[in-house]
Amino acid sequence: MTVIDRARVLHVAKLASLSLRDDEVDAMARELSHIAEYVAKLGELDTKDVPPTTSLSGTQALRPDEVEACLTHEEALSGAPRTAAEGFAVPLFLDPRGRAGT
Amino acid sequence: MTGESRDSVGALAASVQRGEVTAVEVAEATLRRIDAKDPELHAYLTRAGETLLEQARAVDAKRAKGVPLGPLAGVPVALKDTLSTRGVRTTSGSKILEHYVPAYDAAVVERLLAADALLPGKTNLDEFAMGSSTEHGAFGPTKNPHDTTRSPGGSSGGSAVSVAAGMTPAALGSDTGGSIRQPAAFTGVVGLKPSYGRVSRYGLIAFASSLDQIGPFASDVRGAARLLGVIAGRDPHDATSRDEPVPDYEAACGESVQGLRLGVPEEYFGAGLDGEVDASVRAAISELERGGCTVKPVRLPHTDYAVATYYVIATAEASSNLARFDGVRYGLRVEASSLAEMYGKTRDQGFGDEVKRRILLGTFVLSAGYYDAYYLKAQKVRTLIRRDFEAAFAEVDAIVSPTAPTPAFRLGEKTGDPLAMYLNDVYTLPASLAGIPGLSVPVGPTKAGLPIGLQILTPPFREDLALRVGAAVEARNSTL
Repeated sequence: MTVIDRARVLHVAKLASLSLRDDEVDAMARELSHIAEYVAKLGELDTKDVPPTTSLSGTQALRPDEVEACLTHEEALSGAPRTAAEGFAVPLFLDPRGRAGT
Repeated sequence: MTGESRDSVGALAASVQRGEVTAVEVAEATLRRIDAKDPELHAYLTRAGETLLEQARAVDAKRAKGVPLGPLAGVPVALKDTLSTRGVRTTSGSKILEHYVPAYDAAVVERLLAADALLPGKTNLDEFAMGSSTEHGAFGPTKNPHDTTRSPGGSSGGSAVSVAAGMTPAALGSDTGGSIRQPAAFTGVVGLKPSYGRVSRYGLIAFASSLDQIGPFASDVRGAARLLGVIAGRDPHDATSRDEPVPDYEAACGESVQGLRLGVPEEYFGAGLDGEVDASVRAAISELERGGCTVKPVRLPHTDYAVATYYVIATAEASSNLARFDGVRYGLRVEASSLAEMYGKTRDQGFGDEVKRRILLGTFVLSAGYYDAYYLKAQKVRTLIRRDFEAAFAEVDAIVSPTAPTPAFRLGEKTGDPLAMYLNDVYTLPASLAGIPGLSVPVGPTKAGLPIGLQILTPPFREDLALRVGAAVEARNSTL
């Protein structure tokens, strides 16, 4: 199976919203390749007719759909690094003409 | 009882209930012990002061009014710092949460307080519980009290050490692939990972949601049983918690093991198993046989694939769970001019190397073109691992094995080789994948004085059986 190279690390880091330093990229490529080679041993097993285990929870009854006490607005915002207008503040991500920015 | 000695959970609660010692005296003695021992061991990230004394005063006031006290009356219980505590900093061992103060308590914290427990502090761990040595946290390693050059195991190393060093008689940890059982083995205390669904995870900072489970550490098996009885049960705030009855776990500790069928899996006694661990675990199994158990070999043929399966599933789930740390709602934020750059920089500076490695691996195995070969494949092998246990439990009541292949390794010994660190969890990962309970009880020590753990695995929601066997092993220890 694939060995994880620099380009793959950078692609995956982008998917994961991680901006890695240059020296981190090489180290991650090396370590992740080593782990991926080990994990490839799963390919030895024939699992053609085996269903995947997606959950161990079984069927659970949901709780009654009733309003109950929850965090106050202030509590919900209490850990935010930055707030504005009683909400979470983030950098501008729409440009003034309404197009999505980065 | 003075609150100064290494009282067991049961003995301490009884003396607080009888008024032989006040909860305030216990709290003060606990803080003195932490102050005396923790500078060397670093089991705690946050030590409670005034909140602990308030809890203690409330317990004493309740008793003064004649209100019956709960099963953990005045018992100090250390909390792994993945458990949310209202008004008390909760870091999960990460720089990204260094200053995070939750606005609510985890369900298990509420249950401990309702049982009149005292909560003296938050314990050290590998960052986001990702590790097996308590060296991967952002705030420095915890040391093993039996040999301070060695790791206490992980990721719940701080909780294990709090109990092993006598700072508290009990603690809570979380176990995703062995993070309660392996540190219990390395530090010579009792540690229990309950069945998946036995304990509410509401307020646990999530690592891998199909595996995570909260469980107790204690200085004796009955102590762990009592804690489990307090924290177990359905919670509407965790849809994966099950509505199974909660039996009297402490009573189970007193039941005879006569006639129980124990399975010994040969796959857990193969290459890589330390000779002294092997001998010590086999001696304990022979004692159980002399005590009336039937011992027979069982096969768990997919054991060798558990590490690979686990590291695909756990990292995939972690990559998803840790997406919430984005610098917006809580935790660290590194300012930048665009949103994407803010996310990237915050996460780069906030997460340590092991967490980044797992986020990247998890994102990789879920990414287009790799999903079927890695993630779907691992989910199918997980089914094979579960079937191994189902087949074995058709023949035996419990499975006994070493908890870890070696005694505690040295600090720094495995940090340079992630895969070697992962392989240390070979005997604990399969039970996590199968969702079954696992109890580690001390059986050692080695000639050098290092603890050894025996692991007892049972079918789902049969913690009572594991505790029953564990109590028998403990009784044998005390006669040696």
